Amino acid sequence: MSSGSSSFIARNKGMLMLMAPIVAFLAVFFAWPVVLVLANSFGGDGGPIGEYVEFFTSSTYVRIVIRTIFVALLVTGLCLLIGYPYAYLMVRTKGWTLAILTGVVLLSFFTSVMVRSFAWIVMLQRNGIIDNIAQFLGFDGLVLRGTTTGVTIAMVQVMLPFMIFPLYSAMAGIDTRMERASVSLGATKWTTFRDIWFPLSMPGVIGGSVIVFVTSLGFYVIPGLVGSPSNQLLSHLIYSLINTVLNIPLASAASVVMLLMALLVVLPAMMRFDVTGSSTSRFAGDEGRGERQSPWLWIWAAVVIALLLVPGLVVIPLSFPENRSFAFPPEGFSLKWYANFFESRQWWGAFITSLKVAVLVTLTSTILSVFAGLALRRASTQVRTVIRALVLTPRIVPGVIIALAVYGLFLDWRLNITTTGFVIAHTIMALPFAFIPIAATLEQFDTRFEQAAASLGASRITTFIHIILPLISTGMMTGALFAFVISFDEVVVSLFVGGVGMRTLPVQMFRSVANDIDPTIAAASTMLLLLTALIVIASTVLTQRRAR
Amino acid sequence: MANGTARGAALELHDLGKSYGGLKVLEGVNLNVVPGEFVTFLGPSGSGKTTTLNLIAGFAAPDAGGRMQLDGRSLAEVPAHKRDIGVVFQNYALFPHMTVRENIAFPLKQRRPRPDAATIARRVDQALSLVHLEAYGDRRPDQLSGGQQQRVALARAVVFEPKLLLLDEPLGALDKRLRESLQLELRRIHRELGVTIIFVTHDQDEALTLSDRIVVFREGAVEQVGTPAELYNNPGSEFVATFLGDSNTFAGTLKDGQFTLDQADARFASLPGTPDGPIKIMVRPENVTVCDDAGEAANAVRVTVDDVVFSGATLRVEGIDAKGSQLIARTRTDGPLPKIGDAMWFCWDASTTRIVATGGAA
Repeated sequence: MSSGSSSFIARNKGMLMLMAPIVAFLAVFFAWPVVLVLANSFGGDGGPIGEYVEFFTSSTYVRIVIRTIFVALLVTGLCLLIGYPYAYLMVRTKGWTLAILTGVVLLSFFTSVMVRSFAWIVMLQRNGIIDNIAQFLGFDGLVLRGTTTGVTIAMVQVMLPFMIFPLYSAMAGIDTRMERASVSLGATKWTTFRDIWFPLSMPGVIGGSVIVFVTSLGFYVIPGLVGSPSNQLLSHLIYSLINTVLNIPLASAASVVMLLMALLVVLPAMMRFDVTGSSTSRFAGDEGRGERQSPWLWIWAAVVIALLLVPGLVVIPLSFPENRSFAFPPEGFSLKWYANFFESRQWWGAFITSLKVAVLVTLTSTILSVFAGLALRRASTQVRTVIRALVLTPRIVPGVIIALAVYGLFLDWRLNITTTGFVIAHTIMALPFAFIPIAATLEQFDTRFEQAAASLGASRITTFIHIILPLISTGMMTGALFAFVISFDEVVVSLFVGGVGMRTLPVQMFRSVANDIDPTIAAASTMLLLLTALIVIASTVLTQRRAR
Repeated sequence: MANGTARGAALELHDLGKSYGGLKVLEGVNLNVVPGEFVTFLGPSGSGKTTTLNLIAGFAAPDAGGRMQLDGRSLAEVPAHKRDIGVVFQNYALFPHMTVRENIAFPLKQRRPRPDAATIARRVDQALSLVHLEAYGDRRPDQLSGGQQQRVALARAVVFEPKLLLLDEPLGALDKRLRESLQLELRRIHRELGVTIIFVTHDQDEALTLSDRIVVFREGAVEQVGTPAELYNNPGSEFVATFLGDSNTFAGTLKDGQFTLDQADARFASLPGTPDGPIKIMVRPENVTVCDDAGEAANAVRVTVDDVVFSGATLRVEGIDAKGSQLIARTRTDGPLPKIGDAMWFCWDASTTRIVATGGAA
């Protein structure tokens, strides 16, 4: 047995060396602290299961758990209902139509969660846009901020891209000739959809639902800002248990409960489907694309586009008022909030911190992912499955749990409120996003290019620099972009890891929204929106040009 | 390079084997290739020919005990990029992000000391003219046809003057006409450069046309080595006989030098000097004549004509013998043509019978 394992090491030395950095990183900074959370939950004053007894005998806590599950299920169901027809329309279109439908989802996906949360507050609060419209129509007004309905609406809007992308990717992999076959065999359009199309799109339905459900379970920003203490969710409870009550064992127990709820959903789904989104199978043909579609689908798509874009747009006018107010429509015109953004140490400092952290996270995640991707190429099927599961796990652990775990570890290691701490914490979150495109590109990379380079006299390093790197650059750029955005946009982990002396921009925005009325956040949001729009539009135009 | 001064290398393979996990995919390969020789590895897919090629190129390491020597120098500790062996891949493996010139210059830039830019440019030009692609240097691989990509791959593999060139089914992806013109091209380049070539294919015609010698692979081992004529005329086994060209085989027993088949209406010449026991014999279709009666023929088998295919110079007659096996005769087309359903005899001389298996192997 021992000789067998030692020869495994000898045979796979290169693979293991490439693998080591990412495995060590995730083991030390992700797996270990999560284990510590588990240990903490059993380590309270009331004996090993004392925290759990306290948690489940409190009717308040139990009600929070039930409300959390209910909201997560509701958000998942609504996202599926809203997103499915949209994704269906996407696979039926091509060229510019497809580019625009995709671009809108991308734009929404890349728009900072804080920008969107801020927009929802403005829309849902007292004297907000919806309230004003309701009063204008003669109702008593409609204040959704502080209600579970408001939280659900905002969460659906934020989660929608996470549902649409897996749905689209699964549907794009369906061979449209199946539909023609079905119709030629005598099935009606509806039967064909029910018995052929929908079952074949199942991996996307399950994949999207799992991601949306798990993210909703541990979502902190929207419930924290749009919700109210009287209808708080589990993530909010965990946060306040740590920061207000300082009851880490009970917070840990609550986290374990949340983690179990997530695993209860994720594990059965993982047994049957590849929910990690790593499958890259794609039906190459485009029969059935560009055909006429029902006008109802287009109307539906228009509503979805409005839902995805409008919340972003409402923040723009709010950045120009004369006075410190979020009233809509704003009064007067001034650019002073923009000036404030660049002059204030808080705003500009936070922006610089975010930029610095995001650049470092991009570098770390990309390098770790390239190493892991290179290792995947040499690994056996079983080893690949293990590696992939390990790297993608942070994606299916609710963010607030990662935040608590990392925060606990960093307390011991004195890494809270340091750049290193931020970079490590964000890298955990960014790795799955960077890894998926990079690993996919590397796995598709033809071994014969390496062999050819070797036969022509190129050393391993020369081959890597001159052959492999240029050929995987697209996948690498995609992975790097995702890593950058995830880090730049990250809120909940940063709330834990940061402090007064060191804030990222999203945290500064969070504090600003939570604590005072400062239109600087609208100015910041507008600039972020413009930047995101520029990037998405530029990349869409470039892809379209190249496609010609 | 183009003036034929480069010489090929000698290659020795000794007891080469390869296993993956517990699975042996190659065993006991022994071969001596002389400088400048054109050797073809021929066999069905999975027979070990490409595995052997990968071992020679250094893309995989042989099992312990196997040895490879290039011009008397052991390859055991030499990594792939230091072997100086040119390889042309099945799907060419041209680097898609480089132009044709950049692809061909790539190996030259890896030489140490690195040649100066002018030398590199001159040698790339020579390589391009060798494959008649002077006008295509600035294109990218995806702007070339399959045949052109093939030539670029060849130019890239010979530009650094390797003494041994390995070609892994290089013509496999091309249509028939292009294959034939590139075969001629390959023969010309082989003559001009004098390089030793190992060519992998599963196409018997290609092997017969191009090679000085053919190595027939079967199930991870070498079945037979010989010139195309030797293998065709004297196949050492039924596998070689059937893999190279058409053949008619008969399995029977030999007793006192006389071949017998448990079948009526067949007559066979005696096979002196062969031990008794189960035996398989073979005759090529072009040595078979179609007769109305057995007459004086040394070998004759009665058949019912099943199909007659006229192809200009020759006539292919397919017959079914009394046991229901299909036999083929290829004859001249002068004289009356047999008709489907006719009862005829397939006859041949004693000298054209080949024994392809004896004893237990039958």
